[in-house]
Amino acid sequence: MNINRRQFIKYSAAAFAMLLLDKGPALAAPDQGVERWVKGVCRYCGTGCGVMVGVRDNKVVMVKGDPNNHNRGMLCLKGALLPSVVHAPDRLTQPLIRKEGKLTPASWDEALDLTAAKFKEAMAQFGAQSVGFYGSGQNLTEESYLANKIFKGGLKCNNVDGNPRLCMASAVGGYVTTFGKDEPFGSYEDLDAATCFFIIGSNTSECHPVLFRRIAARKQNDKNVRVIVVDPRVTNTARIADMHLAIRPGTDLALLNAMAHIILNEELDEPRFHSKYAAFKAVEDGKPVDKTFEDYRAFLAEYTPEKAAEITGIPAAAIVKAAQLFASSSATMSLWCMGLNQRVRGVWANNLVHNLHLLTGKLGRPGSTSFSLTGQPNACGGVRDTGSLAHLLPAGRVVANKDHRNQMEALWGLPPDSLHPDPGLFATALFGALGEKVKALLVLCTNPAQSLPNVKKYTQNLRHPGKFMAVIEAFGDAETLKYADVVFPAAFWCEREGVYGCSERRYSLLEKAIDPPGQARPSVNILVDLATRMGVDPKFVPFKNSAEVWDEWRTVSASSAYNFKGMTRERLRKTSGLLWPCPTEDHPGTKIRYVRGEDPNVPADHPDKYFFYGNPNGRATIWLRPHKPAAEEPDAEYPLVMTTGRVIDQWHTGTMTNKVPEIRAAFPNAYVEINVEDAKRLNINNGDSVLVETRRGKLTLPARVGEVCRPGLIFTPFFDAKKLVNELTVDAIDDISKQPEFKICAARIARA
Amino acid sequence: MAIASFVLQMEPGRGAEAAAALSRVPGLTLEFSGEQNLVAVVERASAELPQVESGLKEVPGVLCVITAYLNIEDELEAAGSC
Ligand code: SF4
Repeated sequence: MNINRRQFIKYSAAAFAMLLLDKGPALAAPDQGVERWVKGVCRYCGTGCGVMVGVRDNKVVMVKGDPNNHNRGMLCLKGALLPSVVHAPDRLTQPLIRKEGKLTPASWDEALDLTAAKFKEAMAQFGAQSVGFYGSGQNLTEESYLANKIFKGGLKCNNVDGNPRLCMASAVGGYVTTFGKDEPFGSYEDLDAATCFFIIGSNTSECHPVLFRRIAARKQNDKNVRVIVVDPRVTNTARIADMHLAIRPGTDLALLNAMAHIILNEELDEPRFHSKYAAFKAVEDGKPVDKTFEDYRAFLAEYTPEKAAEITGIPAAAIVKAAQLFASSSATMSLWCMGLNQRVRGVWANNLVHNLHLLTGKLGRPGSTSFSLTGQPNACGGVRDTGSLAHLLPAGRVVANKDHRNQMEALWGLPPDSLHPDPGLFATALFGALGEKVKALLVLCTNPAQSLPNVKKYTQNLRHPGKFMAVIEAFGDAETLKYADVVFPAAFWCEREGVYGCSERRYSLLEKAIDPPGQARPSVNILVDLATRMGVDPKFVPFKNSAEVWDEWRTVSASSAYNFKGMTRERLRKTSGLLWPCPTEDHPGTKIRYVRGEDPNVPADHPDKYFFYGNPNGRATIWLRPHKPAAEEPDAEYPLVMTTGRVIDQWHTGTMTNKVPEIRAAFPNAYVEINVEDAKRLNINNGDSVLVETRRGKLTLPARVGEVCRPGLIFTPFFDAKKLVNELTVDAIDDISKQPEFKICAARIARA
Repeated sequence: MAIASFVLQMEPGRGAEAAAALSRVPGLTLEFSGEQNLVAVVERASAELPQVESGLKEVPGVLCVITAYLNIEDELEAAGSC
């Protein structure tokens, strides 16, 4: 065959796509020009697609899907366009120190010494709780584990939090309060077996595109598969739904309780399951109290379909139908994301989804599971599992529990009772205290100046003359750098090696493909260097690289239900990821938790099939949680609800996706999406400049008029640094998870 | 010019209708046309690919569009980044 290079590439493109459909031919040969392929994980969303990074002359020239990882070679356009992010012209290549208001090049020693001195000064004067660390679900697991160890174990400061507080904390709270342990029950393989998908508060199509393809494939291949989407917008996800329930924002608790009511009323529940494996609880006078099944039934009595219809705006008949589909399918999989988590009752909403699975016994069998989707590539593996939040310790332990602290003291070689006994400050409290109670802060790889809710309030703290803030960052245009006193240039993505853990408890190794630019360094090395200069004993952080940190973390995990001792670096190098628990080097990993014969934490001779070992009674909890409204409801002055979110092309605060010329050209600006009825009433046309106002601020945005939002709702994406949408959002938080209610606030609009 | 391939998942029985619509997209070759899946290879400036992808979603009967492969080497070379 005589073909030129472009024809060859076209042939490869077609062959690769066909391979994904099992239609062959097999991928012919490595692409021309790529010298080597290095295995990794996509840098963006919590789907955690495996990638192959194509390298030539120490440059990333191509990214394609890893056919051996869960994504089976698929990527969305964001993942495929990663090369231009790596080689963006504004990569930070040397340390910077703010001098006379300007970030000025400095040496590593100057920047490290200055930061260490500021931290030491604050701790000497105001105590260990006057410093803090703010991390990210994008850091490597080793980086999060290490920072947590340095601050909580080395400096005895629990002010360690991160941006997963803004996105996943309610999912953590939901799993822990229901099942006793964080992280999902099942795996992505459930997507291939479910016959009913209940998708609530997730625009899977745009936020987890590769998983959405798998859901669409299920629907395509089995005409009995049903998809129910609960979302106030007619998203692309809703377009494939058999039932789209366009819910009034903030009324999900009423819907979920009504579904439980219908399931019991129509005897669609599974008493054999819930009578044996569930316990009922409610909170009274601030304390959890035991309840009975009959108490639960009585509690649900008021959530009739008709009452729920009034609250939610969904017709009663549709609520009944949704409950029937959920309960009568052979395998129901629930999926949710920020729509449930970013709420003042986010934990409750998570509990109520779990309730439906516990009532109907739709758990622990292929396709039957209650599955929270994660927003970031390593919020699960990095932050949740390593316990890098202010109230947590590694592997599901909590700061407030003395036994847990003592276990970590033993594992870290610290004297008994030396860890600080009180939880530290969570995200908004940490930034709210900056410059006041908290004098020095280290930020690793996140952009709070754009991503915090009601951000103007916290910008005042970022500007506070009494604060010192050092930021470890890869890109020079992150909004947060405007307020940094010191900036450390970080190695980005495949410029260093480490582990990412995605939504399904899968840990995959991201191998080093190229060297970082200029003087940029891996964050592990920056953290060790800083810690020792701050006075942490070098023997406490004896790590030369991330592989050594991983080995310690793997060993620490062995004494917990997370146990992944069997995931050696070598094993991760050979595979495309493994799911924990994975206690030994010959263990294949765990697809279903809490089930005898599947989960190594359930003894093989346990008398029952299911065992919720995280709860003292061995049972999961069905919670009695009443409907409560959002923190800020629309009123006469601000009659609309504003919600925020992602769009498929852009990601988070745009610091990466905006480096991609193709994305920048296609999707440069934020906008406000308005329902046609509202637009007509307010005389707003497509493309008009619209003033969007909330009680916290105002912005002018171009209008997108259509049928996507339900009447009374407006939507804005938050990726655009030129339009800080989070100046408008509300910072009310969930009492339990401390996660802010980004998803709902009252707003008004007018033509600008 | 970039080269990308897309997998299009179709509602059952609408492949032919979609194939006809796709034949009018500039730079697009339909490499495989099955009952439920189409494979399209697109040769276009990469700056246009996001719009191409959005356009594919609007084709009648398309359930879902996913990028399978993307090669922008030629453009990187032209821009001097390689
Ligand atoms: S779906 Fe998420 S993880 Fe996969 S390629 Fe797209 S952005 Fe990356």
